[in-house]
Amino acid sequence: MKRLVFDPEACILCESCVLACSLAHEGAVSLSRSRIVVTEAIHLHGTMAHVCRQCKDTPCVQSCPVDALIQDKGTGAISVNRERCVACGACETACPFGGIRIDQKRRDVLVCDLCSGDPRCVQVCIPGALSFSDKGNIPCK
Amino acid sequence: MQMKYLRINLTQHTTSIVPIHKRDVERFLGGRGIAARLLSDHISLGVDPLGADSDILIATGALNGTPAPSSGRMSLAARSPATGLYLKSSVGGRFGSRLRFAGVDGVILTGCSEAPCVLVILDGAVQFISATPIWGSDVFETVSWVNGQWKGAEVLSIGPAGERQALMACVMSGTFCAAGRGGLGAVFGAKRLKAIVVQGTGSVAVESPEELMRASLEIRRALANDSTAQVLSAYGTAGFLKSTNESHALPVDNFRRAFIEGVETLDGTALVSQGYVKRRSGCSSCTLGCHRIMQVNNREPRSLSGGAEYETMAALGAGTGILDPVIVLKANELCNRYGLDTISVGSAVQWAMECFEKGLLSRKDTDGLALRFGDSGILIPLIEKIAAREGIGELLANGVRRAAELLGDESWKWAVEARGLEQSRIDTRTAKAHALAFAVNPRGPDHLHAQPLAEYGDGRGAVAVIASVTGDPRCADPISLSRRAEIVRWHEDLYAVCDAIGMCTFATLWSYVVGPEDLVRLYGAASGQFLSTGELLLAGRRIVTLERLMNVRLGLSQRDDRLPWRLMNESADGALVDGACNTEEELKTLTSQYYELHGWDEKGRPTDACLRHVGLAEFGLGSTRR
Repeated sequence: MKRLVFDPEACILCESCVLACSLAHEGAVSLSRSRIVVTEAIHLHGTMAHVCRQCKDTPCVQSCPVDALIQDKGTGAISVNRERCVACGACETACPFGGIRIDQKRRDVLVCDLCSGDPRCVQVCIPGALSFSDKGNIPCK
Repeated sequence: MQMKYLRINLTQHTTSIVPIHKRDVERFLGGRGIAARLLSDHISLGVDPLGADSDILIATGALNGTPAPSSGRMSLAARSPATGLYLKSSVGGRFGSRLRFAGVDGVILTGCSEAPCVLVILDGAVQFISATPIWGSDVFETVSWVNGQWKGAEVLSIGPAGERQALMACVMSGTFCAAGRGGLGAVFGAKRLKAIVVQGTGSVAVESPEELMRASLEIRRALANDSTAQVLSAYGTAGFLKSTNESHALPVDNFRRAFIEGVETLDGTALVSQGYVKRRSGCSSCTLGCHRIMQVNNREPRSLSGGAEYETMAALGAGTGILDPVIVLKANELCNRYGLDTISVGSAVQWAMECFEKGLLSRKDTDGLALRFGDSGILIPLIEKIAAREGIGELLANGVRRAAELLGDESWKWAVEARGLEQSRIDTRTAKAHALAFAVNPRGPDHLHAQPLAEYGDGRGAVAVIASVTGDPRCADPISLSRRAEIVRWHEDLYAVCDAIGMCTFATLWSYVVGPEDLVRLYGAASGQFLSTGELLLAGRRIVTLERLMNVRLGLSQRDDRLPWRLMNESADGALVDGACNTEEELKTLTSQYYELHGWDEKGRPTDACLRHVGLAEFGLGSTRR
């Protein structure tokens, strides 16, 4: 299964992925509406990306009290049934990777949908810190 | 596209919202353009740059916060305390994009706080906070204090040099990016403004998201495939130090020489191979990523700094003859920490070395330091003294023009400054378009208003630009005096556009891969204002012209359009061309051609016809507008 693979050594923290993600999904650019978040790990010492890892055991889906989250069997991407979702934040708490988030202002869930198989974040990442590949060494079940 | 500025009165601790007129947005685009437009209502000879009545403009570029490539730069503007003239200083990092996410396109700072203060802008709401806990702190400590209270916030701040109003003090964005030139740090210090913190959870509207993404991707890929951009990515601007030296065009020993043996140790390639590059660091939306974080932890003195840029390595290192990268990187760290402009500091150190050599300064003036060219033991103590304004540091902290005035004798002859600003590390004696660009630059002899690198003819893109601007590819010759005005004006126009929309000129005017037609696309997709390339460049010229008008109002005339005395009267040893100088006659010819091309009169004042042409009729010198 192809996943978003992140190379912290290659990331230069330019936030292009974040800007592109929010623009692609929202039609406007916003740090708080991006499905991927990139941060400095410890002051200046490295980088971290928080994005859905399409885990097999889906703690987010399992934790959802209203069955609003569904994992696509083919791609592993999580989709949200917005009519059911009550933005309770159980999924955010359950995810060990910070890959799914609640936007408190808008009361909804933000999670990567893989942009129909051609993720925008990967497209703009010229330094090659992000790739869409089945060869990642991402720790997930 | 609508724009909203915040006017913040530091005396009263009040704020108000200033909507920018639609017509001004259309005419001046954003960033540097809007800054010039707003400051033009205010700047005058009666305004003391370090007084309570001076204004500082912080203006985001029109593309800041969008995925447009390399679109993370914003502009600051004020009346410069170093030159007394209009000052624009642009800076990378993330502050510009954060300000837009906070719902603010720019800030107008007025007045002067009674006690040291920090401004906190959280989603457009402004808080005034006491700076007492961090007054006296360096920039690293200040950023760390801010991060402790506002996680993920961006910060502009000054260091102790700015607090003490040193005229070579800069404003730092984050830890390592500087709005370096012209003394903005001193203006912050005079206003007792230690820092501005911003956090934004809002969004930046984009007119045509799909088209912006498409254009961004194409341009990013083109940049990734360009060899000049690749050097910038891999080695930063310092990757051009060795080649400049090999071209015999590197200012060494206070511009007395054009070449130095052994400079390779400071080149970007050596910094990488010696393991001093901790990691690359991109400004907002920049995948070119020329900036880097430097760390020395295997030798003393240990250091952590940003850059390290060509200008820094050339001014603090090659120029002083100090070729130990560990010392120069420590000097860079201290400049970052204290908030000092590395170009001006390097220039001041070299001026002091020459004074010492010529007997105008002795050990008793220098607190016992023997200021000898190449002595790596003096650089760090000198910078400490400049930041503290102690001893010899007090003489140097306001730049070499004022230092030479105080020291007297003929020391002004080797104060390598014009208008009060130290020259960037480009030898204009063997680069004639640069000579003109530096002479007419509103803020002094410096590369960040128009850097006509194309005149060197390095690469196909550069030659193509020269051919299209002058009609003759043979004009891509730095020694030639032919068509320099056209070359400079084209670079000026495009540079102003880049500063207005927030694009980094390293993407546009260094590799020459990204041209006006690309900017038209990006700006149109983001703003909905679709211009022709001619209209876009005309907007750039409008900004340049308005800046010139402001300077004319401040007393500037053609006799100020000149270069440092040394460059006009002495040649450099080992220069590309023996005996090359920027003579009085040469500059007169170049500036006259430039004025004529612009439609300015013989004194360099924009004529009414020129103002009508660029759409600034109501700003004329004879008009009722101040």
